[in-house]
Amino acid sequence: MTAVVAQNLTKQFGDVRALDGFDLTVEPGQIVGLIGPNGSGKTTALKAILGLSRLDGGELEVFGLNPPNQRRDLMRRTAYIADIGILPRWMRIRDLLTFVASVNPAFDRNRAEAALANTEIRPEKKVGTLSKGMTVQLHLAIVLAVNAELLVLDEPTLGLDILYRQRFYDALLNDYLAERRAILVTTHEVREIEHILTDVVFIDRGRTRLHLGTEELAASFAKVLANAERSDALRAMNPLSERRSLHGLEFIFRDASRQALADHGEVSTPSLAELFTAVMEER
Amino acid sequence: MMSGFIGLCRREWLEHRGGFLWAPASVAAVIVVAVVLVLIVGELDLARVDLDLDISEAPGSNTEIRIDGEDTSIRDLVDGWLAHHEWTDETLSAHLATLRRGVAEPFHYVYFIVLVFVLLGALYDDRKDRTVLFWKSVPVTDTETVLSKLVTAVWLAPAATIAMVLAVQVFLLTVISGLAATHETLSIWPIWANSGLFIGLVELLAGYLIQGLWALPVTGWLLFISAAVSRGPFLWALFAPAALVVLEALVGLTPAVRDFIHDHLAFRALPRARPGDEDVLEHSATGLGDSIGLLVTVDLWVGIAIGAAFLAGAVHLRRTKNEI
Repeated sequence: MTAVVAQNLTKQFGDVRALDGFDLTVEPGQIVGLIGPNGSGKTTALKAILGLSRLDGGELEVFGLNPPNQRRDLMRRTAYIADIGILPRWMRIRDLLTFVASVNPAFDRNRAEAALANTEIRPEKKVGTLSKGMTVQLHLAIVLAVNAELLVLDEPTLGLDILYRQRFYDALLNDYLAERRAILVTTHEVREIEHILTDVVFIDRGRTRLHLGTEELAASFAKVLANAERSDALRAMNPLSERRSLHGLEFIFRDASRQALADHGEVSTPSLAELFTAVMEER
Repeated sequence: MMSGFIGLCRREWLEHRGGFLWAPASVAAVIVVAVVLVLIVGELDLARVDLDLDISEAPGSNTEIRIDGEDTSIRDLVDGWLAHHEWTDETLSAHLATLRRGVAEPFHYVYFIVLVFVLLGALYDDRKDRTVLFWKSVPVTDTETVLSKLVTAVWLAPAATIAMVLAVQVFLLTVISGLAATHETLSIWPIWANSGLFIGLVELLAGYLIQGLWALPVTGWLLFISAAVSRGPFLWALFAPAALVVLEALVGLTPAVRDFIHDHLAFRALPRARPGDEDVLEHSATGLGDSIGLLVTVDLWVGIAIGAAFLAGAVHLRRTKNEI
């Protein structure tokens, strides 16, 4: 069953159109990166998918459920981190695990404890005594110990230093390789997660700009590095974007013949970050 | 479903253990320490007390107490009082009932203060510290969340208060038994037989149970405000109704809001408050029959309906308002 089907979602906050015809599908086994600049509607979209806010329009189903109206059933199949490292500071870690176990039958306490055993986090400590990085580890250990079919992460590395960011995504990838569940993750930092994604969705001003399997990247997009004298010929081929670099001009093309492009310069596959910039500049 | 609800209640208890458990425990400790101090000091001969109390001019009094430079102590005074009193089952039972209820009084007020602050923070604090998104990541409904907060604060937390009241009552009876052991006029067995400990416990349990229903318009209102406001829940809870009343008076309408608040809402959460200034706890204390009698009054059920409406509002707001 398709995890998430979102079509033409709209949501207005006062004068701001936070979502303006947003589309998304997430299939089981996909790791989908929802990537967009700050204020592009990523969090609004996730909140709607998690049933935390109501939409103004469009069609949204998560496992065939209506998120705001069937939240409890939804939360039995979906785990999420909406605010990384924000956990009740007054609570002992042991009590926190007991609480989650008591309200969520899908929570595997042993797995969470095993994950914590590899850290410096002691169960008798209060959450408030942990450092930011440790709190994030705890949060992730709890969420990954839920046997959920869909895992939703909103900017999961915000405010973390580079070392923890790396560890976070390593842990996430290990979990994915073991469980093969669908993961939907947002970030404004493409580079951080491009190596773990099966799919990318670019969002800008509340609208889906591109949905692409990362394996299709090479087939659909090409980057050409060319000299200035070739630039007019390449511009005539309708590039997605053009930018100056140290070595000449870089053009990014969509659905263009690589053979035709090779006549004008050095052809390669753009990185997701380059593609993101190109798509965002296209407007 | 049920284990989930118990888990939610346990969470509430843990979060507010300070107010639910340590607050009444502190009251108990203060009383016990005070009594022990009096016992110690009471044994001491107060050095040459010169006491010349003449209250014979007070209306209806012809008492004169005169202690002229004799060595005396509180213990001597208590002994004198115990020895010269006529102790029958009736007088003993009446004195002990007064003591029993008097001891419970400070606990009721401390519980009331804790209750107000716990309920005002219940649906507000986690929005303020942003943990609400974590609490919402577990499969429970907003109705379960709101009800767990109400049930824990109103019907489970009093168990700790009642246990502390009972402990202090037993302690005081033990002290009195110790004092009585030295008197021929008073023996230990009648003290415990007339202590009313058991009926007192039943009164407290029934009293808090019914008080919880009686206070529902107020507790519901507090939870509603807790879910609704973005800052200052205490001020909102207090001044929103006050502002309505003032506005009503300014506009010159008949004081419908004022009368409504006065008749149906105000002070319902106070232990000593019901129409006609009777005390629900004391009321129920006169017998279980009266407690149950309160259950069939229209007033109670009107209050429950109003409370339920506020709770429904709180649940709705909890569902839609996640952020401050």
